[in-house]
Amino acid sequence: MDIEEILLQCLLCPGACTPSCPVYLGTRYTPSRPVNIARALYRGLVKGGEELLVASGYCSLCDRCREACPVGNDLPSVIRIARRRLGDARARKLGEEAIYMPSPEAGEAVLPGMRLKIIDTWSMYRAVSYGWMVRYRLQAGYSEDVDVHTGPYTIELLENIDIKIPIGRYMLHIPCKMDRGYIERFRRVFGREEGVLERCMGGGGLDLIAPKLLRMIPRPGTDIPVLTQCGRAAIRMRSMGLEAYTPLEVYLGGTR
Amino acid sequence: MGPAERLRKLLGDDYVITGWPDILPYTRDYTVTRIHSELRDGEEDWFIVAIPGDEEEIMGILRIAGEEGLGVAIYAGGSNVVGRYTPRERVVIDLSRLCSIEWYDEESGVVAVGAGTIIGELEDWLNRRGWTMGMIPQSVSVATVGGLIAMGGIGMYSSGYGGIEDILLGLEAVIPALGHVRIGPSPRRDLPLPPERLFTSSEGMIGIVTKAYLQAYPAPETRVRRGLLLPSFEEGVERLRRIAHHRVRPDMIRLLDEVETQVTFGLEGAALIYEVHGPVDMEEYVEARARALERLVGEASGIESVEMWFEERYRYMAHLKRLYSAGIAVETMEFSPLWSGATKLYVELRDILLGMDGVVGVSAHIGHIHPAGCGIYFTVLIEADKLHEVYQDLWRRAVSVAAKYGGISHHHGMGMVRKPYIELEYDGWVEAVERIASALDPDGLLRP
Ligand SMILES: Cc1cc2nc3c(=O)[nH]c(=O)nc-3n(C[C@H](O)[C@H](O)[C@H](O)COP(=O)(O)OP(=O)(O)OC[C@H]3O[C@@H](n4cnc5c(N)ncnc54)[C@H](O)[C@@H]3O)c2cc1C
Repeated sequence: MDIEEILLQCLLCPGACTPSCPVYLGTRYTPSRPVNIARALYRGLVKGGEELLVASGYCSLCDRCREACPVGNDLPSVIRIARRRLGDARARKLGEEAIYMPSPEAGEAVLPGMRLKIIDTWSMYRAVSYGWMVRYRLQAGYSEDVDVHTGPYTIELLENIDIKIPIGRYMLHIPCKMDRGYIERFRRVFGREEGVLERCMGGGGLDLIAPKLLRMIPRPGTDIPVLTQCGRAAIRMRSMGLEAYTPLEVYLGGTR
Repeated sequence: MGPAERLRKLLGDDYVITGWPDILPYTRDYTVTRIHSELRDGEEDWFIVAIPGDEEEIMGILRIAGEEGLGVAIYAGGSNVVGRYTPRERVVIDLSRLCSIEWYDEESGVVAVGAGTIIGELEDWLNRRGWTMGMIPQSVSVATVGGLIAMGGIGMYSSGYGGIEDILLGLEAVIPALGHVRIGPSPRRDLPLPPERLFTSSEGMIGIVTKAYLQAYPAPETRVRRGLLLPSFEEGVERLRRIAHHRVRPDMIRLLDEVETQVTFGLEGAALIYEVHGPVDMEEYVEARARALERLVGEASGIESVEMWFEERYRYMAHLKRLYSAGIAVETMEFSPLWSGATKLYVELRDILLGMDGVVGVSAHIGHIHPAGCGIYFTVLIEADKLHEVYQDLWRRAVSVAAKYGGISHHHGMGMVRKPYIELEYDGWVEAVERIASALDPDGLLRP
């Protein structure tokens, strides 16, 4: 991969991917726009200003910018490289602390018959995550694996048992690539959503790597329950006083 | 307490930026010389970024900036191309948080929207409800509502839907001398100095637009795209003039000169492409308009894939990168010749630019037509090493020629690039602009 080529292409564009970025849409923090991460990484990786690589932490690696880019520029891969390069003491420490475990609080539970596996490379994540991934580990700090999802296993499970749970009006929260493939499944099980929230609520590890961004996410304007595939987003929305659930929580009868 | 601390107290720590890497995005806009400075390690300016959430906070920032003797620069989408955004030694106000869609009156097709909302985001929101603003600049995914108002923007569907001035029905703003003002939407206004006109193309000199009331239309359900190949650009100009005068207008039109036709379609001649819109189940209306257009411009022929242009339109960064890698920088300049001068401007300016040291290529197209003339857009390829050296001369010469045949601007604005030449068009009026701006912003906070 030619890092300079990719970054240059971003630098010569005002940011066609901007409205696709759930982190930017969520925070409205200009430095988190993919094109601005690219500008910081151009200095950090091409011109040698290592300290600028921290900007890579603003990304949730959802891949939407690559899809929205008119030329399909693969910025997310460069961001992953930057995170790995960063690997300073602080990041390593963060990585060691942040081994991700299923959180009952977030509606994640280890159910009978569910397979557990620790994923520690991005390619592995991509290869296996769709369908049954349950958890994976944050490797060395700002590494490629910092993207923490609760995994789509919950909805997969619901599909397997083939039930319908009509829950009335609800908003669907689908900020990440992993979740987007599952909209139809959500609909099949829970009925049609009232609307879709596309902003990142900090589930992709933002709370670990860029706490400032997390503080900037305003309360989503919704007075009806939110169904989210992301357990961390559910926790966060609840802390904001919203009614938010993961599908598994609904299936298991709610958290409260 | 210094200005940064005072701003932090006002807005909270998260909404004030002074250090790396977060300050980086604010070091430049999209002006070609600034992009190239960044690529080549240009020097860095000192400034503070403040990110307000409402009008009250904007007023607070203006007060602090004034008391600290600092100017203010406005950053919205950052897509300005004429050097209007000048952060040096200023407080930069980032308007990104003013991004709400407040209400939508579907009966009137009027939407109230925060000035920091990205045009593409708003358009997408409207599209999902079956509506459109018909305002699609090439920078649609970054340019904001306020940026388009302040810089007098226009989109590719201008011939059907007009420019920002045609859809702006009212606005809210913070004016340094007055505070928060609100002028509600009206389909037409006959009152003195209507702010929607005063603020259009104001370039942030009289206040900060915080909200706009914009017109939307039901999204077209039927579209016809046609194209034809003409022997020359000059011939194309004549046909555009005909349709502008007869008011048989398509919703989008574009005439490419021989160079752009060759680059886009690999064909000899000048390509003319257009698009006609109509409501659902009205194919016959759209067809009839397309046929009427054909009567005026000629039968569709010679271009197999009109779609190619629409696809290539957003892939400019790939071309820019190829050119940059080959040591070439790209500048764009748009002017408004009267029909009587359009061809003369094209030929004369092209030849002058091509004769300049450092200029390696020139092309042009016309994308906007008006009853009296058009918006012509030149693309100039310059040896990157000579960019800074030739830049001012390039503009000086281009503007002098443009002034002979009509207007020296069309939709990118004045900025720092055209500022030295504004008197070529504003004979005796520059002083009026200064005085109006001074009355509304007596300390000159907003004027670079
Ligand atoms: C690739 C590319 C394609 C483009 N295509 C088009 C096109 O098709 N049509 C077109 O018209 N332009 C086009 N432009 C130019 C640019 O997008 C417009 O000038 C746009 O209106 C700028 O909006 P912005 O939000 O990016 O403003 P910024 O660049 O952030 O701001 C520029 C200046 O505008 C003023 N300003 C911005 N917001 C406000 C506000 N709320 N209140 C007061 N003043 C304000 C300030 O002085 C500010 O410094 C293009 C630019 C690029 C890079």
